[in-house]
Amino acid sequence: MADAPIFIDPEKCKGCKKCITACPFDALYMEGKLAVVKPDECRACNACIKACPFKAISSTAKAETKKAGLADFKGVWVFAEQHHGKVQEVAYELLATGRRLANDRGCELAAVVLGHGVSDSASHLIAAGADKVYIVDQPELAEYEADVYTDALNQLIAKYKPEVILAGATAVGRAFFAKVAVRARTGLTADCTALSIDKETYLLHQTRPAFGGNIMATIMTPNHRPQMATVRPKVFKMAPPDPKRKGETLIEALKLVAAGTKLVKSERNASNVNIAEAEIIVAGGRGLKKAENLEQLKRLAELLGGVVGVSRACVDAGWISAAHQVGQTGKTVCPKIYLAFGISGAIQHLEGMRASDTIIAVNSDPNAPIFGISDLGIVGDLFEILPMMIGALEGRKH
Amino acid sequence: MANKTKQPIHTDILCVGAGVASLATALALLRALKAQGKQPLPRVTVIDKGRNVGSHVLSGAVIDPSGFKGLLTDAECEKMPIEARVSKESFHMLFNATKAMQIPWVPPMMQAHGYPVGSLTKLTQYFAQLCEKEGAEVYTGFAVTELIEDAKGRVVGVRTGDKGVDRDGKPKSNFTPGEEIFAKVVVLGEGACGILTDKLIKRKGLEGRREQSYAVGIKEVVEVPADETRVGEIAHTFGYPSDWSTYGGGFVYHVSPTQVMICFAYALDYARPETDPHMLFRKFKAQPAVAEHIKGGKSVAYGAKVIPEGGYYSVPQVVADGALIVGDGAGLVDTLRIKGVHIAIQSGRAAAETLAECWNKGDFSLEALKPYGERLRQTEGWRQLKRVKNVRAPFSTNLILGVMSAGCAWATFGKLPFWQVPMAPDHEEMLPLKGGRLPEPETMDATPTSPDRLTDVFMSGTIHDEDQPCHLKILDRAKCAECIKLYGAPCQRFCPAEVYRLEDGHIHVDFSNCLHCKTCQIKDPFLNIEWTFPQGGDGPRYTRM
Amino acid sequence: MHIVVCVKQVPDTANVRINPETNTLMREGVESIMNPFDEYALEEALRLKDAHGARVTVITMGPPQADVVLREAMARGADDAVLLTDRAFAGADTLATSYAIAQAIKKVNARPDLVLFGKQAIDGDTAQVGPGVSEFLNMPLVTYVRAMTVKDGVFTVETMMDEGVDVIEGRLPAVMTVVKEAATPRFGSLSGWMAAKKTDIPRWGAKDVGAEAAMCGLDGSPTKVVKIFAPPTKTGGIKMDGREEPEAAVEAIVKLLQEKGVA
Repeated sequence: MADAPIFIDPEKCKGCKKCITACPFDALYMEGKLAVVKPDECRACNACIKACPFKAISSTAKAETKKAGLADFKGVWVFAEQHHGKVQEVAYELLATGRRLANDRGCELAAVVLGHGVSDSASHLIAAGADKVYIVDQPELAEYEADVYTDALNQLIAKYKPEVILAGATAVGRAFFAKVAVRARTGLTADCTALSIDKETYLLHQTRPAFGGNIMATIMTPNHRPQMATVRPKVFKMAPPDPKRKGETLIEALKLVAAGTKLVKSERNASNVNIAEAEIIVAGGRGLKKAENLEQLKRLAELLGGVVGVSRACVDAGWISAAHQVGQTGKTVCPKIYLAFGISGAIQHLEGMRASDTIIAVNSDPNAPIFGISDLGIVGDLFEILPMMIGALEGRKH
Repeated sequence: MANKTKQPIHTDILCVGAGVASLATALALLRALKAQGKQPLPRVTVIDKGRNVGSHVLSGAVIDPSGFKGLLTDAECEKMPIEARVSKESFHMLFNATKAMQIPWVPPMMQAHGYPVGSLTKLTQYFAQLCEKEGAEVYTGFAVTELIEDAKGRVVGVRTGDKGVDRDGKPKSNFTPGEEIFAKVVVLGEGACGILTDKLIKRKGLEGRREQSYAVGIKEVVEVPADETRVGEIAHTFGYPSDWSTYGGGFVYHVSPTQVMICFAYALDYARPETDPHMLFRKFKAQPAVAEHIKGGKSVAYGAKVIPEGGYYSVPQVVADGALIVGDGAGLVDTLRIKGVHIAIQSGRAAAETLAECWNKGDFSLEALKPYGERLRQTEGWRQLKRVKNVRAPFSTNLILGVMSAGCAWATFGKLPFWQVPMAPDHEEMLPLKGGRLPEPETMDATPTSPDRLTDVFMSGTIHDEDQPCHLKILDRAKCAECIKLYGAPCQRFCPAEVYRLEDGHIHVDFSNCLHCKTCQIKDPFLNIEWTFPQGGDGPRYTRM
Repeated sequence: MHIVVCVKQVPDTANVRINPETNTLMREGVESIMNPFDEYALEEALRLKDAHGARVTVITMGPPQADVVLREAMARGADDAVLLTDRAFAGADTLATSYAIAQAIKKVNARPDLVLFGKQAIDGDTAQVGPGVSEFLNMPLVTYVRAMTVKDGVFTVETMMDEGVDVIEGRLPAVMTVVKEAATPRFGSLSGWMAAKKTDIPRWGAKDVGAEAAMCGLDGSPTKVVKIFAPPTKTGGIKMDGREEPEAAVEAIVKLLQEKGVA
């Protein structure tokens, strides 16, 4: 039976309850005048140890003997996901962050490309900040397949021992990256919203939301390598490319396992997008007044490369299917940009989109609750502003 | 497709509703038979339409512990999830928005020193656990929608509602047909304004001497800055914001260092069509004598439910052929003390005693069930009901008369007034708009302790599958037009959940906000709204009401 | 065909909040539910059972009270269930969880035909355990399944990728994760619940499934939570009046979009 990761010395405990308040996992409670730990709930975050003014709490974790060979792992890698030979934008976003991390760590930044017909991607990746680009250009990597991609990346990890690997939290990234982490028996943190290098330990701090975005957690992988993390697209910004940068390109030839599955057909088009995964949402509510006015929202969404969302009122009125409904009884979304037109912001709707990175709201009612959480709130007539926005963006396209 | 024809289910005792009355019946019955060494024991099945036990349970509650003695062991009473005991009580008369006066003594009928005060939801969950330990089966998420009667009109079982029906009434991919459960006796513990109970009462002519009347109770749980010294403090108020001829009042209970329960109850025989009970609740909370209890706090949970107020004269006959009525469904609430939990439990125990006898004799006929009615009338709770039988009615005339009558009734142990003070049915009491116009609606700024109605609805956790038929049936749209003209569509205001909305001359029904409180079915002046059962499991998700 | 479905009991996260002053999880009033994604995974399994007569076993790893989700699964039609519960598993991250669950699956059946997961649990939100288990079981992985047919040991699935749908084929056995675009989960019938309530659910601990202590729980978790905090609450930023001069408002919006790299 496992003991609790922390020990509360009953001699030293004064019953001040500061540890109970500090514990984020509700793992401590009072038994009479002493604090007691629930071993099943304790996550060894050590917040209570820091909080106790009487030093009554200590960690029972055996001092983790630093695994031998951790120092052999060097370098920050970015998995450069590509589709049909084109490297995805998220890779460039990660390279910009990776560059910062590599600088802070004092190591090299490398990009890894798996695919077929991808050899000319190196120059762009170097311009984006990579010191090295590892390319595996083989026909069996042409389409993403979990087993083949996992095998390829793990072989490279075994050979080159990167200290950190980042990947985009895309459909592809999230899936096989998790297999890679398990195969390498190391830690992976998904959907990070912040990454940094600890100044003392040089460990990667990985911050991510949990409980549907209602809390944030900072995670580390102290004793295993590589430290792996995925990051959602558009969380970090790309840096302007520097074509003068120089870097090394290594073409790797790998013997890969057979694919476990086969791609039969791909129907990738914007109309199939799931709004819960969308990065840009243009949303409308009761203020749109008529079904026809949704067309303008659709146009704006198209121009921005986003999708249409609606509040429940539009679905109730039969203007659009419930698949687009954002809110407590619809979908919860966390896009980078949420544009709300004619949405008052009743709490049932807010609960579905409050985790959005940037909220822009247009409403004729200056007291609309949505203005309480919008980054930019416009009190105005959406029937004026929406067409003007479309015009402005169409103009920019030319 | 989950569409399999099911065999009917057979049980011995079926309890509809998993409130304290039903659960007390189940618990008392099994314990009594076990004490007698009876074998085999009956199969006792309890079914509730809420998602979990307690999801649709809402009350104050300061609980008269006399209900537990003899049913629960001392150890079980100790372990009850109600940590606070009433330590300090006060009674206040609120004159207006700013002035109040504390009555220097608490009327003896209201005194509750030492009583457990806390969440009935949690207590109900605790009771359910005790029941299951004794061998009862408790199922939630299933709405019992119909009673099944045999050719002779005896209740022989129930039917549960279908699940997975779309808004047009067509089966969805996960359509699950309702099932039939047959039982030797059906115990109806549906709570106030129970749909099946009321239909049964009508069908069998079981009405009491007077139609049941109700109040709507609107309640919040407020999280306040920790204060251990106030735990157990309770305060009752009357007066503002009720008007002089409507029975209304509020309470504040400090149930833990960080939680305060605050509620305003308003009689549904109010006259003014522009009345908005939720707004009255907010005004109540804003009154300084009340506000000081929730200062610096934040409302975190919300709910509403109707309370039967007709008392003694409105209690129906509680025995039918094949069915018993327990708890609030029989209107067993002492409106003076505003306590009904202990009487509900006592009714359950009385029913259990009768059912134990029936089980031993193997006889569940009407004759064998009738002793329940007699046993109910022997309970302490019944005596209390009788004592206050005329307390409530005079309040509908005006407050002074009500107070005088209440004092008189208490003092004479209910002997005076000895006549049945008349009370008109709730829905008949509404007066038309003055001058045919709706006055400007009052507004208040939203604050952490005074959320607007829609935000409050969110905090009830209520959720309904939106792709299902609207369970609130407007029977005759033509009557709506009349009601809009005469009364300004009061459904928009008396519904504590903002279900009804007048837009473009048409009443829109946002049924998914519904709290299952039943106010609309009671207060609609045209009795034009029929509350039917939404999909089982839907509705509020109370966890600490 | 034998299908194993892994389900998790999770708090209803819509209601989980962190108290910004004390940095503690406010659990009061939060109810436990079956992870919604797992409901969809279970439904896929039950559809295959309806079509092919498969046997469906559900597993959950959790505290003893997690057996409720197993009963719910059985009320819906699952044939049997296993509760994987042991103090030794407490504090497990996705690697340790994947390991423990894989060990349990191996004990249920050395060669199940199909192992299904919901795409992610709504408390952890990692989507890593399904893929992790595919590693430990050494089975092919297909993620984000929204529809599935099986014929003679060959599966054809539709998967939700970022910009559309991929149709994938392969041979069983396989591990798959299922998304909410899949078929609507069925309800448990009352009679189903009655049968489920009566069923004894075996409990397996670390030793029962041959899980090594060093790979379980906190000890077996490479990732460590260092800090928990409340996300910054939005309090309303700039508010402009766009009634008199909508052009200025439009400009402001476009400028912000540009800043964010979107326009």
